[in-house]
Amino acid sequence: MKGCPKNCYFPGIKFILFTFYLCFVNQIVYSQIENDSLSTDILKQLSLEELMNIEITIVSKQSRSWFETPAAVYVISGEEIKRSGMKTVPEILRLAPNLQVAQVNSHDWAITSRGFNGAPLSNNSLANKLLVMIDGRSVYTPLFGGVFWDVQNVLIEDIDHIEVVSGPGGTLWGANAVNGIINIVTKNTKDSQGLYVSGAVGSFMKDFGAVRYGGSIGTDFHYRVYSQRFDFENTKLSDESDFQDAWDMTQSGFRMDYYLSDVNTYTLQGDFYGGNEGTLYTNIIDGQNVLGRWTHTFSKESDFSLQAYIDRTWRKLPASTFSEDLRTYDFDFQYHFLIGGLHNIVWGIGYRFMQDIVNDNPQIFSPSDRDMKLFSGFVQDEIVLVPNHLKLTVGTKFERNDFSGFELQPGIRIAWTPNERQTIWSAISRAVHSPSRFDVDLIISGIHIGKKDFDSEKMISYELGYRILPTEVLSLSATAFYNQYDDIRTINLTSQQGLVFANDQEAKTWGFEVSLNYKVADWWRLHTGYTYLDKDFKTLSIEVAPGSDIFEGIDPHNQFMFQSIMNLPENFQLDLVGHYADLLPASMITSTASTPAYFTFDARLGWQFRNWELSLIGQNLWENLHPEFGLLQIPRSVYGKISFSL
Amino acid sequence: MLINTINTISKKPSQVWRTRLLILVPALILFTTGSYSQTSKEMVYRLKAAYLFNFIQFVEWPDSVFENENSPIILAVLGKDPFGKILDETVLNEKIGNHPIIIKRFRYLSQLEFCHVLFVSDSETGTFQFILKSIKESPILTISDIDNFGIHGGNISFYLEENKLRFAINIQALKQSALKVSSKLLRLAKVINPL
Repeated sequence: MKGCPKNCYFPGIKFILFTFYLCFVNQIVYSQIENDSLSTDILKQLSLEELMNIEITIVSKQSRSWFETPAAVYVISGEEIKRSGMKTVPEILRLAPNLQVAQVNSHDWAITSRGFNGAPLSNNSLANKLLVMIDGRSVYTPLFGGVFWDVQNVLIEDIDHIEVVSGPGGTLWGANAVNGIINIVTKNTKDSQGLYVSGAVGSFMKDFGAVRYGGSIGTDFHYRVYSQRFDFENTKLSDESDFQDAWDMTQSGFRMDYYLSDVNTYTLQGDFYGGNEGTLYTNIIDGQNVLGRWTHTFSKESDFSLQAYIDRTWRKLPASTFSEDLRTYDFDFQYHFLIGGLHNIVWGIGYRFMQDIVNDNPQIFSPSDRDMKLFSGFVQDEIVLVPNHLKLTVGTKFERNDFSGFELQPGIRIAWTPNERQTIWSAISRAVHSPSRFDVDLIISGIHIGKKDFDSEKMISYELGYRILPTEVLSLSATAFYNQYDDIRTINLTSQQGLVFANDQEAKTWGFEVSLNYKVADWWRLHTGYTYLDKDFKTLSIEVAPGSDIFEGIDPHNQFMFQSIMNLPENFQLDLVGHYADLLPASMITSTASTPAYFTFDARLGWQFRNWELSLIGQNLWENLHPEFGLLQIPRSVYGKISFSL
Repeated sequence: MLINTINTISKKPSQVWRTRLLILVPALILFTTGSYSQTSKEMVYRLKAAYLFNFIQFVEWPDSVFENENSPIILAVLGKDPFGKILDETVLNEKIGNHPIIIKRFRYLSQLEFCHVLFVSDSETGTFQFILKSIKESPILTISDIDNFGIHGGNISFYLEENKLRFAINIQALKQSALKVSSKLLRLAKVINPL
């Protein structure tokens, strides 16, 4: 807080103390009404009828662990995904209030957390501080440190949940987890058994079809196979003419889980995809991946897991003669054990080899091809200071990459759970964004803009979080953060070389995230969230080009979302999702105009009849057209969907 | 220029207060509505232990499973034991007829020994169907709080209804295991049929 500039938005220390005072007062009230006092001696005297009349309330295991986590975690459940009517992974991420999600064009998205949604270059956001994983497979590209969202698809029906961590998260997560982590977890094959067929037609999503079959051999081996295809329409320019960015994607995949015993479980899964998309030209994309994991449990106090994957992703822009073929080979080992119930220790090592082959004319990356190695390791100890109440987590990540060498990323987190309904946590962590090929190898018009010794961008993050379950039907989570960044990328104007990248700015960001889940009635649930973000950049050299700050972060100050899920009589469902984002500043460097603030909402009407489900979904209903990140206008749209499961 | 604009905005004092209010108002609303108590997991298992003790009193085993009138009724917990000391405290010094009750714990199915009552811990959610198959038709009363335990052939399964702990009985499964239950138990239970 000391580093916070005068009069900034960050709530004052008095204010925070006042909030603490509030929760103390209420803690006393809680302890008086504790109904946990019935002893075993009393209980066993009671008749069955009497036992059946004792009121209890239980929070599930999963929500429990979420509740006590000392990090800003938001979990999007499979049910919330299904009921949102959203069709692609990036769209679904709008359900996490701690993410900033903006659709750039028909197939590209700008997604980040706590700011740094970089300027759009060839329509892709330069957001480069997020770690994104699908079932343990990291999907950000070393080309620019961001994510090609168009090729990150999964069968929506088979998503179990999505964990979203804003902030550096923890020492357990891998490289690039600076501003946030998105972990997409698909269902275990045991939970996706049987036949599922689904089809849709609509105005923006022209058509969609999916089929999945899950089966088993014996009691311990389960599998599923799936295939899906979709076609999306163009977005619009401001004069309502088509921007030629329609796209289609076909993807198939499988997963097998072999539950040999309590001791050993094995998973093997893979996907392959291909598609076409317009920008000004037609891109062709395809890719394949396969992942295997072995989990071995020695006892309830120790286990390890071993994971390996191979991922190939390829894209070609024929007219501009650019193509990229990235092959990733990754190996991870993780060991976990308890010492005396007080120490919960996890350590792991990982090795990743990335082979990036670029064919470009004119040259954009020099050298064209690059092999990159990443060694990483981590160790973390979760220490119980006061059983059930106070936990301290200390740990660090180690990393060695080809560009900036050895990086240390330690963190310390503390969680205080005064009672089962409240958690207060705080964390200080250091995180590093290691350089990408964009930072080092970029060439424009024959000028080498990339900086050969580009330094890593460093961050120290301070977080304070609070969660409360005031009643059985309500949960609230709030996090305040203050981040200090060093060696942030700049574009410098030098007399000798012209434009070059450098590490010549510092930044501070601060803000807070609030989310609320409210079960209004058995048939009606609400989720809502609000995020506030502000930042301040400081340049360290007179060579820094004006606009270098906006180039790194085109972010809204205020952002709001809500989701309403209603079960109506006669098996009808009525669902809404709405979101608001504040004005985005213009970027001088990329000549992108400012994007006005917008609000929009989606509505879904569903009806279930035996094995059938019919739904009608309207999206972006508020306005005929609205831009979310730059120029292109996202149209109001509608689609109808029919699903059958057996 | 844009940096200056951002700085100017952030220095407006009225906005500082607006931001503070945005945190404070929901906090106040929440703190004043806190009249609800969450039941601890330990309490839930104290309750389940009391149920188990009751069930044993309402079940009749074939004579063949007891060596003599004084031999114990063995209550086994399979998987990660969620009860801790609670179960031992509940049955301490208790007898059903002349049979004392003793508790045994088995982490894995392969270690399971002779018992009369088997509580399957929710740690076995992934394997409980296999457990049920392997002890099918033995005179063992199977009890669990795993979802769908009953419809897959478990004898007694716990479930929640309107914040109250209830139990369901699978009659067909009971018949197969040659156990008799009193009509009182059946009257209070939800009766379910296997798949």
